[in-house]
Amino acid sequence: MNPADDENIKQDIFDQLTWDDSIDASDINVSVLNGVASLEGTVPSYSAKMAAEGYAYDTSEITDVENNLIVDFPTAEPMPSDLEITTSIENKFEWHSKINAAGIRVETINGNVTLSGVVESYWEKVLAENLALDTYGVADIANELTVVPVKSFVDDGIENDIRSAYRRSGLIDEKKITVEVNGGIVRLRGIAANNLVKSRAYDIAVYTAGVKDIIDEITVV
Amino acid sequence: MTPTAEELKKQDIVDQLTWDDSVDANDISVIVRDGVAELNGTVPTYASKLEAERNAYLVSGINDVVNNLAVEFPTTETIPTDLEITTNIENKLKWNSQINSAGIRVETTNGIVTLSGMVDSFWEKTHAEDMALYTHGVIDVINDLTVTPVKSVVDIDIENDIRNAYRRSGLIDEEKINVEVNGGIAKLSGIAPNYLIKTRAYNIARYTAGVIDVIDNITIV
Repeated sequence: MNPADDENIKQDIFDQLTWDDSIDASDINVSVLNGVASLEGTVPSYSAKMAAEGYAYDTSEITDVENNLIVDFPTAEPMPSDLEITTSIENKFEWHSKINAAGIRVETINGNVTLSGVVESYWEKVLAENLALDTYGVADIANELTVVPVKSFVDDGIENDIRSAYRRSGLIDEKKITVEVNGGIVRLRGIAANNLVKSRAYDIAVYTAGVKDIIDEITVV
Repeated sequence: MTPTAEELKKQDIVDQLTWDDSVDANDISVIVRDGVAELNGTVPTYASKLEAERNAYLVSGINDVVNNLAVEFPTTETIPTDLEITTNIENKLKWNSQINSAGIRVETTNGIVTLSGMVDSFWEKTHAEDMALYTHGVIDVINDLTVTPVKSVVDIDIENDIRNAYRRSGLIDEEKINVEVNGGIAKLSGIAPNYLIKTRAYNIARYTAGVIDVIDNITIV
């Protein structure tokens, strides 16, 4: 990859971050070297930090992202205390129509949130993190939730469920993307034509019953 | 007797709804005719009603979905009062790091939530609706929010921003999907090969600065 390519890719990432009206990108610096994007500077929320990382990863020819963005909250707004942040997140879980929050513990130290305890499914683990991440005052999230399915599942059954869902979607080429399940942990490998297909392959695994964790090694070519 | 193509599609949708671990599909019945799926029956939350529809769209060969599902809360569940639903949504909006909720009014009558007042952008309008719809006790959400952008953006610039974002994504075929912006209202038309591309085209328009509404007439072919 030559420096001119890196420059074009960097411009694309920068244009994308500037275009998205929900991200204040005025203090984000992007550099690209040999397919690795680095993000430096500050953003006003953790969700903006994660969104910026997502856009960098989605850019073709980017194989890795170093996200050094610092969350710097606007001074005009009063900062919630760690206890207020914890309570807000706990309440969001409680009021959500789909998540069973009974086994989830939330702790916040200096805006760094840790989710621990137990949920029944992997999609609930993902949902809990997504609900926490756009809470005002959150600087970082460590998701240590353990998935303990209520029923017991057989690895072959989980594999078949994922493969059948792939077939129904008509989007996942099963000759190119492989699924292996061991002890409820799904490993996805192979190549996808674009990041839409890659994320659909991942999402299908997220919503499959019995899944405890997903290792996504699909590359976009 | 070998099943017809429509019977196979119907079975695919039934399997899809059963597979998705986050959707309670016990009381959903499906009819398929000419690539159009009709969903009838009941679901336990408003969120499940929308997710069942999305799942049907994500089955290959389905071009449109008619959603007749009714929301029926399980009798074992304590339903929050209208006042509790209103307060919960107001709090979720206030604690959200991305939305400026100062101008949003929430009213709930028999589980039907109406959002009114003002937000700065179309993506905030849709975010507010998402937060409302995933709340316990909600049967429906009527989104009457008015979008008043802080900065004004000229229609031709909004169109160019959307087209450039389409180009950067590498996913939207600009010969097949058309964008026209008038008075900040983005009208999308043309054809997409599947539901993921259609929703990506919509989402790109949604996050573009200056947009006050998106009318999505893209058909899946």
